[in-house]
Amino acid sequence: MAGTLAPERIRVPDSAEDIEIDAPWIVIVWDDPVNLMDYVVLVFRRLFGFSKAKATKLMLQVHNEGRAVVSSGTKERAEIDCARLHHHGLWATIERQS
Amino acid sequence: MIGIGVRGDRIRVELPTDAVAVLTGLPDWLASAGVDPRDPAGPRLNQSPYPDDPVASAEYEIEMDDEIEQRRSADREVFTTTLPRAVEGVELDVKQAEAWMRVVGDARLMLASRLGYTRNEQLNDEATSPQEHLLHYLTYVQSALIDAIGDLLFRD
Repeated sequence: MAGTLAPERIRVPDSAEDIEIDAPWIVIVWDDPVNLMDYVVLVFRRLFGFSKAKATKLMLQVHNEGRAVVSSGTKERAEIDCARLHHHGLWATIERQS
Repeated sequence: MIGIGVRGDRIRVELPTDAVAVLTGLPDWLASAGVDPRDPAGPRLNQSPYPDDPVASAEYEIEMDDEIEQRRSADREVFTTTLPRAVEGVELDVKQAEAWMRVVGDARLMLASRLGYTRNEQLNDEATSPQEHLLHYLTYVQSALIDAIGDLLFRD
């Protein structure tokens, strides 16, 4: 069928505020002195479907660097993920990705 | 001595009578976390995902706290109803075993908070109080559950 497509309009952020509004929310897991490393790996695999390698890498990042980002997306998704982590006793917070 | 291991598609748990007696108190004990505002276990078990934003914290609490508490209550119910059979040996499905893992885990967090633990290394220190002995025992139980659940779910 003949015809031309109209150019697609793309909204370009024109201010830092616009960029902040569009930035995803991230869920951060923090190191704590009690939860076992194997437990953290199991929780990451169980809740997020990570491979053993990825879950272990994130756990080691938590252990060695103090924190790791385990998910990102809408605020609603972040709160659901955070609640699941809290249910499993992990220390987790949410913030806007900078 | 505890016996926790995979048997087919289940996890068998067998515990001595005195261990069952001690663990029987965990659910009620966990329900007391944070009742006293000075209890450090309260903030640890009832976290806010927005520690620096009281408005966002309050909104989250309205939406999510009941749901989390319901999940914890369900875990404690599973633990309470299956624990007595552990003296003879009880076979748990994976969801029941995970409930046990979380109940024992919460108890560890509660104890460690009240003991003032701030470093991983403190878990390896020799126990000198009844609370520390209990924490070591719960760590042993949770480790065994983690290994069995991991074996059953992932077999890698």
